[in-house]
Amino acid sequence: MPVIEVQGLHKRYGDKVAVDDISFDVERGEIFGVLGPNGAGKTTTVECLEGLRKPDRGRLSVLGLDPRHETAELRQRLGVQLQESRLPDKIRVIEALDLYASFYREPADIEKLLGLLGLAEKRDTPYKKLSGGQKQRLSIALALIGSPEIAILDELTTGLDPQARRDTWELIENVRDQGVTIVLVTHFMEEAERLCDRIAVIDAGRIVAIDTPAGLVAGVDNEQRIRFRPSAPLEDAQFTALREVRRVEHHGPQVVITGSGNVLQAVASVLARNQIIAGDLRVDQASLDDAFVALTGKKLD
Amino acid sequence: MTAITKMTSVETKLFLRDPSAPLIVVCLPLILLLVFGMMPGIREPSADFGGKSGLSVFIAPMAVAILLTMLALTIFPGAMATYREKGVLRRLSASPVPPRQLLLAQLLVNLGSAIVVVALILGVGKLALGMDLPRNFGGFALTLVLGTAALFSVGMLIAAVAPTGRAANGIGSVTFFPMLALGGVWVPKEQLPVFLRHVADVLPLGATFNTLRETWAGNSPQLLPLLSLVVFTAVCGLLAAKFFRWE
Repeated sequence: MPVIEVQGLHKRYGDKVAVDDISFDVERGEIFGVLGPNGAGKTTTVECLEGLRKPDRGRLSVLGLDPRHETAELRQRLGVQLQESRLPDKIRVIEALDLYASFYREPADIEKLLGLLGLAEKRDTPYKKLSGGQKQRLSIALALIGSPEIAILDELTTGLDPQARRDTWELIENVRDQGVTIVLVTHFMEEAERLCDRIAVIDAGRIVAIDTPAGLVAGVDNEQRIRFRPSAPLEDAQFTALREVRRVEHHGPQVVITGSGNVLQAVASVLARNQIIAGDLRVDQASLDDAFVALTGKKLD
Repeated sequence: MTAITKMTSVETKLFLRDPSAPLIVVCLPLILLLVFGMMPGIREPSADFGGKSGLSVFIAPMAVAILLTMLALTIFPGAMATYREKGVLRRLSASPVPPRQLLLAQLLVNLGSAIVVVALILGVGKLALGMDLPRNFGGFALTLVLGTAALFSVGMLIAAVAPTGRAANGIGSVTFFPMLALGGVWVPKEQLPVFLRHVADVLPLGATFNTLRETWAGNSPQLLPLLSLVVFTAVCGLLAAKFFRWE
């Protein structure tokens, strides 16, 4: 039973169409990713779900409610983390949480939330004095303070260092395990791959694909990439003649062969026949990055 | 505690934590009162001021008028515009409590400050300088209410259109100083050229200030300034409501 249903969502700003007839569903209890480059229309899409923007056309249902007309009820049950949203400089962490908790019918336990987010030591710290990561965690806390059924998180780990990023990912998995459905807007491939049960890939206002991370990758034809440093030079033609090989590239002394199926064995045979040793051999499966390129024709970053 | 009560309590704390605002709001009017109030002869009845002391019919009303205008035209719009700039109002839009509640909380904090400082002006004036309290207290109170409403409506209009906190402070200041001059504060309106005397009674600061002068001296307020205050409240209020952006 989907908790979010989007049908034919359309929104333009003047001449620019930001969201071009987008449709998707989000199931209860999943982490649903909205992945795409900057300007793809991700934030506009979720803002329509949050009732912050009025779409030009389309049918929206969040927890069975219409975000445009049943906004008050929706706000009680939907937690939101907005891009680039700051708090007053001098408000203390505990004051902000306490204030927001007073807005909701069933606020979460503040102490527990502080602990979950690693902010317990910072409860009396003014907002201005928090680090970037702590500010980000506070905004996640505010999204969760109302014990929401759904949390929409926009740019979860932007500006965080790698450790803080990983800690946040673990936190989100915990939150999902407690039954909260999560919609995650991101332009970080690794984040989408790690966290999301399903991903909607968006580019230029359109949905390009919706699938699990594995499904998206499989759709790229089970591609593999073999990198090595040959002990002696060899003509590309030897490799391109193989039907499993799609292309051959050179990065300095390194040869990169992209192919599918039994490409590894085929390449190994060629090397053995020519008595060449492959140094620093690495075999990569296709990644979500490759899936994105295959689907949209461009790189994510 | 309801959301609005909690919000007002948080806004009060934030207001008091700002290093400059509470200091300026309290000290500037009191310093004006004390410094001018100790000028020779200002506490004596004088023909210039219809037989009353200059302190009570000019200096004290000036302190009150400047206090109200400072709060209404710079501090209040500055805070609202800064909140908009930071995305605080927008974040509230995504919560069960609409951002207009924050606007209300800010108004309450500023009005509360106004009441406290007016009381201080009356108290300090009387106790330290032997100042007369407003003789027409009813008229004085009415003028305070209408004047505050008009000035805060102008402030709300500034808050509605200023893109940033800095811009709001700038617009407020730019509006403040001409209004002081045209209101008959630098130069009493009696000494302004005739055609400017009417302006002094019509612009919100001047209308408030000159009517405070009248009621402090014991006279009834004149109709034109009061009417002007009501009109300003209605017009600026409506424009502000129409143009206010929450993000």
